[in-house]
Amino acid sequence: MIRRIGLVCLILLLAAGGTVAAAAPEGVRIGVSVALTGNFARLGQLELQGLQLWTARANASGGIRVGAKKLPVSLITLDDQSDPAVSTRLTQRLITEDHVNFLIGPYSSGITQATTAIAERYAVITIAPLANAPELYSRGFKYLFGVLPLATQYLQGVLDLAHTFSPRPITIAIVSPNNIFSLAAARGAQEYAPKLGMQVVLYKDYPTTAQDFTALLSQIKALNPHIVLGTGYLNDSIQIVKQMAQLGFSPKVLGFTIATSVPDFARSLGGLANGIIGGEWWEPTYKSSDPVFGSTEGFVAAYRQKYGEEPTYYSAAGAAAGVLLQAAAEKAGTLDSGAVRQALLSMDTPTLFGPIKFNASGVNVKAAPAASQIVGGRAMPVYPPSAAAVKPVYPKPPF
Amino acid sequence: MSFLQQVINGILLGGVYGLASAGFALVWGVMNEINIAHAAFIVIGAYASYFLAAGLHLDPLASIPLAMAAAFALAYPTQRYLLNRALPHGLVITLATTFGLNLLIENVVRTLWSSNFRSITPSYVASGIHLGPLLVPLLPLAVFVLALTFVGGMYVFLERTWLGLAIRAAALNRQAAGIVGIPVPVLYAFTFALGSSLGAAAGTMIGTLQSVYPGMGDAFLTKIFVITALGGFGSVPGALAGSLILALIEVMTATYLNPNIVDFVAFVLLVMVLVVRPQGLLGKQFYGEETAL
Repeated sequence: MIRRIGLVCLILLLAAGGTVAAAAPEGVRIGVSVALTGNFARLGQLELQGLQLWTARANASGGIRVGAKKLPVSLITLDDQSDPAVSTRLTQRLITEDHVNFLIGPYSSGITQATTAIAERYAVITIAPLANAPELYSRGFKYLFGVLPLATQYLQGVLDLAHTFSPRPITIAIVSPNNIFSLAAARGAQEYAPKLGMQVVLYKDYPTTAQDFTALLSQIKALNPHIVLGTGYLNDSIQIVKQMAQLGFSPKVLGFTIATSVPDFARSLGGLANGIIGGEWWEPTYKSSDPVFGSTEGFVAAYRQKYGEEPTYYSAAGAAAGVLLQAAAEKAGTLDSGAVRQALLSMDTPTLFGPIKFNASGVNVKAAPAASQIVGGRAMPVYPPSAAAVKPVYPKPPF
Repeated sequence: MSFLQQVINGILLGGVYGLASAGFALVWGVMNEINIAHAAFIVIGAYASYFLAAGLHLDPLASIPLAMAAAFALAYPTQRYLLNRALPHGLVITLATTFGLNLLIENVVRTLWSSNFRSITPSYVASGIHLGPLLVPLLPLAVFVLALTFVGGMYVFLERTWLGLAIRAAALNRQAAGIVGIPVPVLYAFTFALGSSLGAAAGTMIGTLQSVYPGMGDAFLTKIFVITALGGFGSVPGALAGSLILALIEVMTATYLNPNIVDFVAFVLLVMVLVVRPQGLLGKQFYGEETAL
């Protein structure tokens, strides 16, 4: 009995192997190793949902048009367990055993740094949807392209928005926890502010474990800047807002990076959160056309229909990575890495994620970060004006 | 003016630290027990007050007695039936047991209520008293006054009441205390529960000033250690003194030097104090020298 089952399995296996081998040249094989378990599981899942939505949409019209033929897309998905070491191994496997044509990068800069080192060696293109630490793009890699603008641009949308306010806020204080990503965002704001005629009156970092911010906030209060920006994570940003309220200091503009897009932020702060502005990478209200989905609106509708929830920027970036690959392969008319790379480099196209154009390092230089503002406990798109769902409130209501 | 404001900030922060470390110092002094699970009772107090505020709109200051009662009810049997058995095996075994207990309670909290950050935000969070250019924020002031009341009450309790005298007697000499009829195991359980309920009160207040999450107690544990060593092992007034010193040093370092070296400065100071005065500033050497029940 057991022997017979074994025999059946063997036959099935041979049959399956036969079909894969026969189908291989007739499709575009795209590999993605992404976190489905571990720390980044939720975010990896969101990225993958966007990517799968693109795959389904591309295949519904026969696949990617390469030269005269349409080639269906097959997505080979592996779980990197949020671990760079695992991800490195899986990337190697995707390239050498699964013979993928292209790779879509994982969630986080740290893991992408590991996988792209392998892919570069084999000259396989990686489109990284969610990795934007500047360090990744200063390595001189030829086959890495990022969907997000650099982390240094995180607060540019907030500053651009503040620049439109009247009377114009001028003085600005920036505080950042002492970690590489937050510091990049803080440094970016520090360098960008003077270009808008703003004046940075205080720039300080604090240890990532800090609990009490009264000393730092009292210093800021004494300087009384119009704008206060924080580049921390959730917990430190919540504490900064509460302690700011306790010290009776309410700046006209208060902006953060990561915290505001997490619902916990407004939920735990209640009324104190009203009017706080957050940097965003993407808004579902963008009015951009897209070669695959038609427009951002088309993507949002398709996403909502398939998953029954609102898309976040994680999913939008995942879908945009697929869209870019498709557009580049169709332009190149071949799946050859070198030709597709040239196509990506010469591309300047609107997508569901907004306009995308790469510089020689693979950095997206066209996307302009957006901003949202917490209104009635929810983060609402307020910038750029074309994507605004509500009119921004200025000055921020006092605590 | 800005200096005076920072002094005010430092003193008010010292109140929070004092309340967080008083219970820890009491347990260490009376039983020679390094109670890592003190962090877990901070967490329990904060969650109790958070749910009372979120569900019943109970003011955090009003919910403190309930949070303390919850911690007391949980802590009493913990010492009576678990830690009393660990005590005769020495300091390291007790330390390991409370370490495990801390992990256990924290992870139960994490499993029940997730790692989400929450916050107790009373309506008067942004109120303050203005003294010319200086501001005394209301909520931290309330916390400071309560901390002083609790620590002062604890001192009076230990010095003036029969139960307090019995606790101190047990701390001085366990065997003799037993001989004169003091039920030492019960007294130990009571002391532990008292210390833990002070931790819970601190938890409520930390929850209003900062945020509520399963790891919030651990974030305070290092500071509590420094304070207890600084002020004197086992001395409750010493814990308050140590708290004020640490908080002022932290605030001044963050203001005039660099926020990133706050812990560095605090630990250098600790080492210096311990070299000159190994028992801490207000420590008494006789506390907790025996371990046998």
